[in-house]
Amino acid sequence: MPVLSPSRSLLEVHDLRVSYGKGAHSEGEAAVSGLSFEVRAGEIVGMGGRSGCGKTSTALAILKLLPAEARASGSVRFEGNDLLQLKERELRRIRGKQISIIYQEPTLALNPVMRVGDQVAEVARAHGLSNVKEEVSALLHRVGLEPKRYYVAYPHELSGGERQRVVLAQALICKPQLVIADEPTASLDASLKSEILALIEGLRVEFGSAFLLISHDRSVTSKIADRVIELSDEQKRVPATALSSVPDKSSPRRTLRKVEPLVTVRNLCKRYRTRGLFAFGRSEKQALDAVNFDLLRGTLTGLVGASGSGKSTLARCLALLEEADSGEVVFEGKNLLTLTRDEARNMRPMLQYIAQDPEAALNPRLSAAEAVEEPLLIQGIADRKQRRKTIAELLERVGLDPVAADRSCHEFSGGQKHRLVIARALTLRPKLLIFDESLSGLDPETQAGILVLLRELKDQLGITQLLISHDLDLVRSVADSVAVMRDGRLVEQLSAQEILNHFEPRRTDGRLEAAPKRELVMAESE
Amino acid sequence: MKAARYFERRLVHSVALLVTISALAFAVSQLAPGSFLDEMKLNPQISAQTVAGLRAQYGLDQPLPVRYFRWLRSVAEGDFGYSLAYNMPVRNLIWERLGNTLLLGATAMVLGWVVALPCGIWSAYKAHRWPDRILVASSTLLLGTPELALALLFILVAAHFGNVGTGFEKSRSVVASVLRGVRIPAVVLALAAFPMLFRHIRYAMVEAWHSPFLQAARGHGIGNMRLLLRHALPAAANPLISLFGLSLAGLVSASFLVEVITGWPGIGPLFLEAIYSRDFHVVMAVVMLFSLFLIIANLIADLLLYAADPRVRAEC
Repeated sequence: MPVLSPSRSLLEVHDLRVSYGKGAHSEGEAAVSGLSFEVRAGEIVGMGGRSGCGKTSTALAILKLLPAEARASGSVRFEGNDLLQLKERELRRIRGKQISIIYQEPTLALNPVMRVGDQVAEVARAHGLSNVKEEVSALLHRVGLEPKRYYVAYPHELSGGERQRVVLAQALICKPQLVIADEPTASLDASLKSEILALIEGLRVEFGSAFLLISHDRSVTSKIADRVIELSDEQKRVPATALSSVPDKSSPRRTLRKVEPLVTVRNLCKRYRTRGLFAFGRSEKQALDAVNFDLLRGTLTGLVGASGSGKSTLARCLALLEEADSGEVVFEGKNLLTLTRDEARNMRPMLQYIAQDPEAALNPRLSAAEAVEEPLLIQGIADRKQRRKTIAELLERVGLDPVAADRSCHEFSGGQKHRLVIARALTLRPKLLIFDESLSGLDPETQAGILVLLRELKDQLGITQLLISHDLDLVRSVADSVAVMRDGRLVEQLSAQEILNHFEPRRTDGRLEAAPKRELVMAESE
Repeated sequence: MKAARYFERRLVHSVALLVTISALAFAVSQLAPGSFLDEMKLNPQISAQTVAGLRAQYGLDQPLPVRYFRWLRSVAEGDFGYSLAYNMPVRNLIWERLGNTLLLGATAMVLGWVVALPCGIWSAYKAHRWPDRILVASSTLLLGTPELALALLFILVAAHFGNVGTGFEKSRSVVASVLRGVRIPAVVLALAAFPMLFRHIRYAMVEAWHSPFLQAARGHGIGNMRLLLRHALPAAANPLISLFGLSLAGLVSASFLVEVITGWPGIGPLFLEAIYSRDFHVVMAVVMLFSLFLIIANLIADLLLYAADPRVRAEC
């Protein structure tokens, strides 16, 4: 809904190209190429597109805040200057004062050891504002934070929504002409999202600032933007081909009834204790309380529940990353709880665990090929040539371009890193893949792409999978059956058909009260 | 209230640690062959009866646990026992020398930090460029140089210019002679501590400098100087405060040897002599005093950490 009539042009981006790469003369991989757009004074321009298409690179390039290994070319005209040609000293006067930027993740963008009021004041002081304390208090009040309480608070004492408001105040304290907001609502739930968007809209009118609002979420941009720019990505996707030797032709689409379990869990218990010297600070938590369940061979099982319900603990026990106190986990005829060290070592390749944050699970110093090669080296498999071949096959298998194998892990986008982690897990030909909330951080389109991959792994390679999530909708869309956990107990295990019946709108009789709707599960997990 | 509980908990840990150290030190020093009285037996002028009498008088004929608890009780009353070699109470023997060692340690500590802090910050700011490379290379060189060699080098240079001035000289005023004496050992100790301090400071600062919140602050147009000192340094302070406590440990152990070489009348030479002559109570007193000293330094570091980092406060 346009509020202001279009006026003079504020920012003109022409033929912007951003590339990442090491060599001084090589072109490197282009994250953005040939991008042109303009932002007029006082308007809200949305910028959409799936992850990895260069939205954040564009935002950073405008203020020349790109990391050292990136290069930007083209022109960014603002107030008669080409920002890309300005010196660091001149840019400093523009950053925060005339063009400010709101970084993607407010939790990371705030200094953990500085009071948030001071962090807003720092921006004001850097640009020579007077009456800083009063101005900051007034602005905190305006963004909905009671100044008396929040001026002296530290970031870790605030909720996600409150941190977002602080970051917004930082961006607006100098009343800039343009605010670049990179995914300002990505980490917020639905109601907070609309609150923040309403706030941005109000501030636009009040301060007369233009906004470049970056979001992969169309509902966000369409809500308040006057115009939306869609960035498309030209990623080459190699068609999925099967891993050379593994495919098991006899295992396509098994039905639930016929298959025997790969993993049987009986009466599994786990209790966490935090220890202190003598009697200080000791506490206990029953993380798993007599859990029973079966993972059927060649199926994809979903595991849902609120955070703290024991999902991750169960997964870590299955993956031999954690020792349960009692009960049994039978995998391939062996009880995982009574393995010797050597047995455990032989078992580990078959049980692959993919952690919550694939970003953190990749060593940024390694290239993609090295990351995938590591498990092969550890297990002493194959010679160099054979390894290179396997790596290329695996990358292709998970939908990554093998040509990119020598790029460093941190140059991949979130979704691509995810595929990389899956490729690494596949190197050892696992029988069970466990995904611990690993899909939660991705945008819906990337998520859907990964889910397709999971289904292919199941159908073509016959790999059993356990997908943990607090998002029932996501699990329901791929899983053959869904288990529900609450307070360390497994309260329900439903087959795909039962799930469908269960989630018929009429039948919300509270049998699965943890989660008839996506929002409910989300709300519980907050 | 919370701070009091935090402090209380650290205090209980510290006392438990001290008692454990004392028991271990006591036991280990008994394992060493020979005793002061054994040396005495070698002297033909002292009769076996005299030695046995002394044994009984000092309670050395008692079993080890009994002796330990007796010792523990008297230490709790502030009495560190009697030096057999010097024939005087250990307390009187140690007191003055302890002051000298602490003076040397404190001087070296201040000197080391005053040099290492700006170097570390600057090096982090210039990371992977020439000033940084030179500093890192020289700190590596220094790290590989034993402090003994450094001390000898300095004495050699000072002697060459006819200006040795180690230890105390009676002819000058007290302050002047202390300053002259402390120069060489303090500089040597500070140089020995420099590489570790510098590297930790540099690393912590590099990490803070590349953290997302610093990128964000840069995006707000805050100047580099302010970014370094007001934004990055407090964020990097957490490991550095712990380092402060630890760096004392390194200084103290290094200072013993450096004191011996440069002739500084601290605990070091006394400790060494006491070990040679099996002067048991002196050894124990020095071990305990320095354990206490280290524990207090770490306690101070913990409290500083509590004051400096809001996240530590939240965890307690």
